[in-house]
Amino acid sequence: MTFKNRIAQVASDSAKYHLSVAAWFIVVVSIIYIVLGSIFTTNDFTPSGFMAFIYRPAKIFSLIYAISATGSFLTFFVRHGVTRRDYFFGTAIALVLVSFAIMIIAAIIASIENFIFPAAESVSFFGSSGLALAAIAEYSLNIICYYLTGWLIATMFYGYDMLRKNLSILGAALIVIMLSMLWGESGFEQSITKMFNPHSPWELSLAISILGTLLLIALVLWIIRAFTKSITIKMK
Amino acid sequence: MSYETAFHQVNMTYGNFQALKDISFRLEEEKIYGLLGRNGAGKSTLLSLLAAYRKPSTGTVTIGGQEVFENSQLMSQVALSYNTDYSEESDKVKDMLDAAACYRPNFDSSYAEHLVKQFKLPRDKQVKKLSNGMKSALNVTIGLASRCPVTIFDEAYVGMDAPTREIFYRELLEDHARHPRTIILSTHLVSEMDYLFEEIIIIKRGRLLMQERSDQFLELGVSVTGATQVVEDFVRGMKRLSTRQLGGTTSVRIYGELSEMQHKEARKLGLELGNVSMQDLFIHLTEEEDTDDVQK
Repeated sequence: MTFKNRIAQVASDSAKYHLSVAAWFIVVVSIIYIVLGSIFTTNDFTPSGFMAFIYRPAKIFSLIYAISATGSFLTFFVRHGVTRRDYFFGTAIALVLVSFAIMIIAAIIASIENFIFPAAESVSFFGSSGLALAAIAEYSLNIICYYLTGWLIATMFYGYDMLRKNLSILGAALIVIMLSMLWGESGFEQSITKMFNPHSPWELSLAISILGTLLLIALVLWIIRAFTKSITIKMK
Repeated sequence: MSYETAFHQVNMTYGNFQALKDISFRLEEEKIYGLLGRNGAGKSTLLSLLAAYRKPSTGTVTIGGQEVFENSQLMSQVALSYNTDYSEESDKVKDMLDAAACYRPNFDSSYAEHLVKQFKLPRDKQVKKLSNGMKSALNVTIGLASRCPVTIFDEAYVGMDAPTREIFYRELLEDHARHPRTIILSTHLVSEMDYLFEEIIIIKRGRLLMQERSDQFLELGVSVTGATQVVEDFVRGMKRLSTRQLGGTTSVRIYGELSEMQHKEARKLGLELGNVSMQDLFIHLTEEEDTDDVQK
């Protein structure tokens, strides 16, 4: 089996497993959305429909999935003769694919919702195709960052000492803060950000936010690669 | 491609603890090796280096002259089976076999099915629900069916009952005869598995104590059997491994070869000379405090 095929195989197997778990997540969130939507009928509950509703849980899901799955996947692949390098690139490809897949599926569900219950253009992503694509891109990039945050934490907890474990938590907090600074999100992340910078640049253009997020993704991937390059596999 | 395996001046350090000290040896292709050593001697560390689970602190581990660590071509040709913690493994037995088939280029699915039947493994049962013996049988099944040119079993028999272990040993020998490859068996069950080994490697406190062909290794000891007093007089001054007595007959196992003169004297005294078990020699060699110089 050639090198490139190995990466593709790792990516394919990781993505399949990941998507099977993500499918359950989407189903559960959809049910909660329908139930809550039938109880609370005001726009306060779902100002931008299903996509906005699933976005925040999807970030938490990504973080938790990455933390819980990283160790077992790393052990599994190396145990079956896959190099850490192939594992890294395969996993990175898989998490990008899954992140976009989750938000594309969410967008499809949201478009069905929008078709059945048309929302006011001001509160819908589907007023224009550009806005919908921008929303998918924004949400997917953010979810990728949360996956990477979980991957980073799990890597440090898998094979490194207490200092680096603690530093990974600090790094995770920094990633979340930088994300909220780039995207000007509300809620918890914003509160944290304001603690560090009360004058956050909330009005960044989409291009700068995307570029900044891509740079952040590249940086975190580089760190993860550096720490998985020679990581010791646990024999357990 | 050659699969000759070599450790060259390998050291492995964890903090202040040196688990392996200046280990150098070669393994010829297609032989079955026994890796012996007491608990904590460094066997698992050594094997984990060969399987690229970790990188040596210093030194090199090579197969066919190429370093194994992060070598995509070589890592897929090395299989390490060990007592795995499957307590959170929700996949079924058949899923585990399918996964191994995907990643091991020489995996023989029909042989895996044969082993599944031999070990009576339930294909549709979740791995975490298997007994310890069944989990070990699954590891052995994957290890053997992977047909990797370098196949390692690190105490893979843990939890297996005696009949299951016998199946493992039989299948290992038969499959090795059909598909010769380097097999390394790390074990504490020396007396049970000694007939499997073509060569043995003994590790003691992180150092290579000995690498020897099994038949030559067994010549390092002699059993002397006869009338108790005659035997006691004959072995006086020799390194005694163990003594067994039944009525007026005593059998003493000694460490070291006898000279031609001692052979003649033994015959003259009516003593019976025989081989010493590998286990007796292993115990002696790993207990002695003065014999940890590296020998080859």
